[in-house]
Amino acid sequence: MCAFKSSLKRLLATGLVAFCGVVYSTSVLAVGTPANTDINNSATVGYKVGGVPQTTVPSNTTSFVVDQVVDLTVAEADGGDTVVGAGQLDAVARFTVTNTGNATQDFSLSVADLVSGSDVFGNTDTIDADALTIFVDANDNDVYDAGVDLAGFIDALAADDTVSVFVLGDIPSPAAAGAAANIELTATAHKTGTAGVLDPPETETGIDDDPATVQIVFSNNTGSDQDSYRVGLATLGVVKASDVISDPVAGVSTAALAIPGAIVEYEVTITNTGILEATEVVITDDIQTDLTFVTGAYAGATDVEIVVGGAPAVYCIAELTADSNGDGCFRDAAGDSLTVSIPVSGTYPTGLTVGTTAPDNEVIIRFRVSIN
Amino acid sequence: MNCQAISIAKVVLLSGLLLLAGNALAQQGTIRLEHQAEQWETVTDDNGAEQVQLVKVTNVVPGDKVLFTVTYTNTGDQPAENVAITNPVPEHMVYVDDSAAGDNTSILFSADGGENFADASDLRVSNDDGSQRPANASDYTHVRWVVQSDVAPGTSGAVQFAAVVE
Repeated sequence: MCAFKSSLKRLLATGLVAFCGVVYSTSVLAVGTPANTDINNSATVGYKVGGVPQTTVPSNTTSFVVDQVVDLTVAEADGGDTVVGAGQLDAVARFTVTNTGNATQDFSLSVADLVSGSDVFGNTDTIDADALTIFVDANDNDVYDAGVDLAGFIDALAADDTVSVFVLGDIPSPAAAGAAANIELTATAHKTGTAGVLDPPETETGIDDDPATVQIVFSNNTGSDQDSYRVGLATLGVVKASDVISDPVAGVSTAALAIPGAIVEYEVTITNTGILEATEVVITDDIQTDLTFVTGAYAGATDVEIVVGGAPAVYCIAELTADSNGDGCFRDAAGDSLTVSIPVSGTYPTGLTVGTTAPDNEVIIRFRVSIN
Repeated sequence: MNCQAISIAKVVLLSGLLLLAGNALAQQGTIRLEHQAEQWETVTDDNGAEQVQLVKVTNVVPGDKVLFTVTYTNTGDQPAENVAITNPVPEHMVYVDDSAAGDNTSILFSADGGENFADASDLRVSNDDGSQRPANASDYTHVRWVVQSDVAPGTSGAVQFAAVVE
């Protein structure tokens, strides 16, 4: 027996040395065997006596049950700050919460307004977002849908599943470009049971020596991450160019000259070089007294051509006095000022919009005049 | 002669029965296997130093490593030959590379549910497209230790391997 003991000790020592290089961390292993899974194991031995094979002998069976590990990850979803406009209501900061434990859990959610001077994504907190409210993505589209995403807690998130969480805040106005409101979302693991209800907070069970008991072990029972609402601006530049289409002498020709009676096309290009898209843009252009607006110059006897980014051109009629046909364009009563926009509709939910990335960061408006 | 032979047989039978009554495990054969599962636990001693010790498995979560030890004892009165101990890698667990150990044994592995055994370096598995590749630790389904010499009556040995809970 003495020899056996020393042999076993040596084995254990070898084992320990061999395992030193293998480091496993339960906190980084996303989900594995579900809690409450039984693991059973036994060995068998085959042998001969006097050259005669003997019946295979089984060992006892060792059994243990996989405990419930509680773990989660909270992460800001976009990898950068959330650009907002001054005075914007319900600005959406998106996070994700992932259940990295091995059992379904509920999670409570809370949001904190970080102190002035805190730094998130390089933005120093200078303002506070008001009315911070949390909503959980109900339809798994990772986009906040008002009236659809209603819950303020996460109900029954299965192991390894991820859900989007939206924090809505109101941005003060006025607020300077670059002003930032930093926030932190915290999720806390709760038990799960009743559907649609936030069950009580999860609790860690004490150490138990019974391998058949499912322990509840906290790897982490809370997690948090930060985001920053940063006030951005849309910076619009306007360039106006003209091209003589025809004159009474040369007709429609590239050689046409700007002489009385010539038709000139004006092209107004609006470019957004800011970090925030400009919505419901309205452009007003004064028409000089020696020019007369030409009606019916474009497709379908329309007056103005509008090209938004890479989209097909849209056309409108610039009637006098007011936009009585509701297409967004009109001239003043005297006909010497043109106003162009696109009405907000299902097709154009933000009206005439100048985005921040090509080709949508450019809008071109064309209209024609004649030289008196 | 006949009568004497019978009486000897009776004595043998009787002693066999006594053995059975005295030790239930003897019914399983003359080699007895003892299986145990342990895990590493970090404890802080009185001086505040952390030490890792092996304790009986009680609390296991995914990612935890478990050490399985099988001790074999020849409880018979004859040497046991060609002793081969086989232990499956449990479901929901993955064999830890290079963890199998056992004095005076050659260690073989199976990657096909215990049908075939080979040295780790010779073991191959099929890819989905039918081609073959060398098996790695996570492919192992069974570990087998072949004891290289006869196991004398009354002697013991131990073999072990580690696996991680998936």
